Amino acid sequence: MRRASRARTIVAALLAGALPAMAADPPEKLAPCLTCHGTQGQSESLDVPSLGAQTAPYTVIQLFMFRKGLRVGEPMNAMSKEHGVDDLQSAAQFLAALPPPKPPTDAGYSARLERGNALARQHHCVVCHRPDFSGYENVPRLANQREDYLLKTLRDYKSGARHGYDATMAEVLQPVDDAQLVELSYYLAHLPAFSAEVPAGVSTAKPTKTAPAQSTAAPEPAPSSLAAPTPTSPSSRLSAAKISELLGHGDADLKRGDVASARLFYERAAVAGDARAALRLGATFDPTFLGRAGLRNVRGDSAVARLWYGRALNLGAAEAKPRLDNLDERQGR
Amino acid sequence: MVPPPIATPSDKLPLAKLKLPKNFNIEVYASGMVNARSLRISDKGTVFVSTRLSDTIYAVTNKNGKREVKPLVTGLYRPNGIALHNGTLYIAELNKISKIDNVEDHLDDASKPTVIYDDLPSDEPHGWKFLTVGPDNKLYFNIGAPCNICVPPPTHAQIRRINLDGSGMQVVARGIRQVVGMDWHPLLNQLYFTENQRDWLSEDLPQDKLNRLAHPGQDNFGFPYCHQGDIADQQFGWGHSCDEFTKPIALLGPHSAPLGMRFYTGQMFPKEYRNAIFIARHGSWNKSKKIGGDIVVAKLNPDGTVKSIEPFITGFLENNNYVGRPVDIELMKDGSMLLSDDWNGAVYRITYGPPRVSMGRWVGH
Repeated sequence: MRRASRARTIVAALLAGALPAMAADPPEKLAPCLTCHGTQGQSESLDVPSLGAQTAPYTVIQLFMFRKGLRVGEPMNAMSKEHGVDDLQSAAQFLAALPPPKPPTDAGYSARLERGNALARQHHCVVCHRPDFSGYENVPRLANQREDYLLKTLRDYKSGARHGYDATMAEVLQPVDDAQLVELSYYLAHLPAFSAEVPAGVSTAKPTKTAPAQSTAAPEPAPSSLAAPTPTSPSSRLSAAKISELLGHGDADLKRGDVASARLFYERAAVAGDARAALRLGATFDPTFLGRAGLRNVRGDSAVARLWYGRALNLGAAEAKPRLDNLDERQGR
Repeated sequence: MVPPPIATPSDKLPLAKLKLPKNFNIEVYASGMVNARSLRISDKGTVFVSTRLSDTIYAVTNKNGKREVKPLVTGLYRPNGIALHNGTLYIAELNKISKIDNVEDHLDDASKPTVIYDDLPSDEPHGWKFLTVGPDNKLYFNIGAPCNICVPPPTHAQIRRINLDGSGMQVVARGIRQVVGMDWHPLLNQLYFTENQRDWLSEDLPQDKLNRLAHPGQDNFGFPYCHQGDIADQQFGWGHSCDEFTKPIALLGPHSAPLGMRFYTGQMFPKEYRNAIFIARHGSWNKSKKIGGDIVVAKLNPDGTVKSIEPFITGFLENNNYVGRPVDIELMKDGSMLLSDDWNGAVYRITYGPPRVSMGRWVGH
């Protein structure tokens, strides 16, 4: 019953607002492009980037470079040849209005995410690409880009195989080694969906204190080919009983003040798609929570907390929203 | 914030936003040149315009007041540096220097430039070049540091000179992160150049520099050990003192990206500008509150040291966004000044004189 009414709310929201944008036909010349890049902004093809919500000035620059042969890659060089400046601009604007690519179904391993997060800050990626990696002006959106494409791009910038429009990427990657490129790609591909990207109807529809057990709710989307296969790819399905057990262990550890152990249990459940676990895992990195819990010897990390709160919100835990807002306030964003 | 790959139409250029001192006027000289960068003017009045992010050198001809923009050569790679000498156009790309003889006779049918020097690295970071001919009839150009901050190989972070046929290479200055503007003092015959300093130390430090090469072959300007003449690098400064290195003669603001610079040797501007240096500050790219996006004028003492630095043209930066970004400065025979803007792909002309009969600008003239 309840699920049915929620579905109606979402449909109504789509009809009211989102549908016209989604129903817009692509410019005629863009249709062939979408067969590889995806009609809804999400590429299903190896090494082909997702272009949904990509910043329009960046797309114009790339098409300009393909057309002039300044960026080399087939079939893009041949396909962009016949297009005038107006075509490039209308294509870029259409792509910018498509929905952003979705996060992968697995939340990713927190240790790797933490490494990637640290690298992204150490090398100032967030200054131009923005803290949520949504890009800005001519600086591209990176959030939830295909991991294979991200890694190939970073390696090509680093080796000089791909010339940037300017030399910024070659310069900032100069001190970054290959293992770090792998971690950065993993992190960027696995960024959680941020609150701004959650359809308005969803977060307001569930102001409940207890998040639903996600493992028994709507079926998980089929694992897509999006996430590059990694040998350690975690299973995203655990039984409700197993999830409860993990949460119980985590809670017990947290009560004892053993935050490190608690994080391990929460992480397993969160990676399996449990909203409560993601919320609690976020809290173990949230400086406000740690302060209130008297865990002052534990190092918080707002960025990691934000990652997991974002994931929790995306999984349906509306309580994550005020916590995200609180983190933003602390940072004065 | 890189300049877009589409030039702004001439009627949309931001002239009305620019502020100049009293009785100075600015007009559009030519537009429609994506990423217009370095400027050179021939004896016949043809203006050559380079690009850095595109592949083209443009020629702007001027016949009986009628101007025409035409691509002279395309298919070049980061052809930022150009120089003119005795009718020959020299072009510095990322990793080679080439020439087109009697270029004025080939404005419509220029052949592929002839390479004269290619003993150059191919690094992208700071790989683009500024090129000029000195009073000694040699070509001067830079090889920037291949990084933001690192100990550069001995082939980098320097200014070299070569003969006009590409022979006789000498390194004339070292310890320079990146140069995108040089000119010679008209009386002292010394090389002055702008230098862009390292990023990510802090938003307000270090400042970019104006340097003078007083001892060719000997001067080391401090990169990567010392910045702005008095700050030891946090990583590489250990074991060095800033006193080992040649100090800048002026500081030009943190991350302000001073590029083109030109001694004013014309007769049109008031006397106070005679032999002063006009410097185009391209503006910062990664600073939270942007700085630069203007032309400043450095007035000098008789010994060539800097007496003052004042704003000359401002207004390219509006509400922390660029409406244009100045790059290079060149002087016309009548003493008026040309200024390139790579954000809009345009060249402006600055004149001095009491206001014209109408207040209208000479757009489209």
